Amino acid sequence: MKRSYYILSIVFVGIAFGLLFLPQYKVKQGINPEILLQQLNDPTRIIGIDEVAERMITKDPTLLLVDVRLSWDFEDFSLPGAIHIPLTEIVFAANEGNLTHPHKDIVFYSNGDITANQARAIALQHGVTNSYVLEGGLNNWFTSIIMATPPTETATEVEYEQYMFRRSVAVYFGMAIPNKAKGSATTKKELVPLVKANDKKESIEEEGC
Amino acid sequence: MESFISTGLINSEWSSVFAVGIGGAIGFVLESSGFSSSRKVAGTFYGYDFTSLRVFLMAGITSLIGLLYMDFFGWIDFFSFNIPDTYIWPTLLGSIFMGVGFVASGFCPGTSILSAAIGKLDGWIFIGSTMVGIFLFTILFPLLEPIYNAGNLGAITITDVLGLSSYVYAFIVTLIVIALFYLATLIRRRKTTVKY
Repeated sequence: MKRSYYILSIVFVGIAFGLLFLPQYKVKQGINPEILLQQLNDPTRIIGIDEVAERMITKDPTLLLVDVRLSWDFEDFSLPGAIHIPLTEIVFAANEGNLTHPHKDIVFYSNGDITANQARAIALQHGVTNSYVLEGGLNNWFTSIIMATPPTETATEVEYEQYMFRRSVAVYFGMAIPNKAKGSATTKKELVPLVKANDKKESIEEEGC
Repeated sequence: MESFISTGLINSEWSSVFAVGIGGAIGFVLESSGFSSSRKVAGTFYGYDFTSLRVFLMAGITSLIGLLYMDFFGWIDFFSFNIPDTYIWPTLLGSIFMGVGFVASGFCPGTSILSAAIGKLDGWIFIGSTMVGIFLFTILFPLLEPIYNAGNLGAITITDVLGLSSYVYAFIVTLIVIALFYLATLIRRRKTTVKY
């Protein structure tokens, strides 16, 4: 065998031997940065409140709502069926596999700020796919569903149906607030207090005599 | 190529130009090494010329080791490469056909095009026969389809099956290749030199 073949063989074995001393961890852990950026800006990440509401009412088992706000905010008000994982604990939850549900759509929401998007970004980096962000968060839920404003007289049928649907959702979940809009048939009736404040005061005084 | 395009090193509009350039360079090197001769490739089977074996095995380990180092330095993502499914029975059958075709013609598809490019008649005949073979396969595909799709083992690799680290696997393959080179040299010594 030629001498050059020996040298070439030794060089190759040496380089391959060097591989054995490389650390076993992967340098690029998690998602590829370009894919991550693409997924972060993906417009389909936003899921509408009407779609979420409909899936909540039909008790869709593939829907998992995740409230990423602080614990006292969650205790004050949250969506029915939602689980609470604050933003600071998303990493742990994702690593422990609590967010890994291949057949579920995970919907993050906050008050409408960037917290839900941040939670989704963290989750994506830890291998949680099929995740979404609730459109406008709870602020949007409050203004569009709980405080749904009736459509004007010139509104289209679609807008009217949307309003009716949102009112129904609010009633279904017991979140409905009497409508204060002008011209609403139920407005005055709903706003009439059942017991006058003064009546109660007077009755207490009477009892004291 | 895709790695360079996705990382922005090569503009996608220029990818075809680079592809032609790389193809031309490979063709030039193969022709310079004598791969346009069908006897050179057939020599592997008769034991008088192991250039093909050396070139392809060396290319294999160079790319394997190179890609693993590039992955380590973060230039590419080795584990994002597409691994096609392994169809065990068609692969075995195809290997036998390919081997018979290799030893009978002295060409593989690439070297036949190389040979045809410099005007060799056997290269053109090989290409023509390949076209006939493709035509027959297309006509007979409904009959061959059960064999074509038989024994799908999924996208498996030897490292997955044996539970080996890619680095250890690359080292073992390198040792096997070097051993094969030495074995080829021993066989070559026992054969009389064939001039062609």
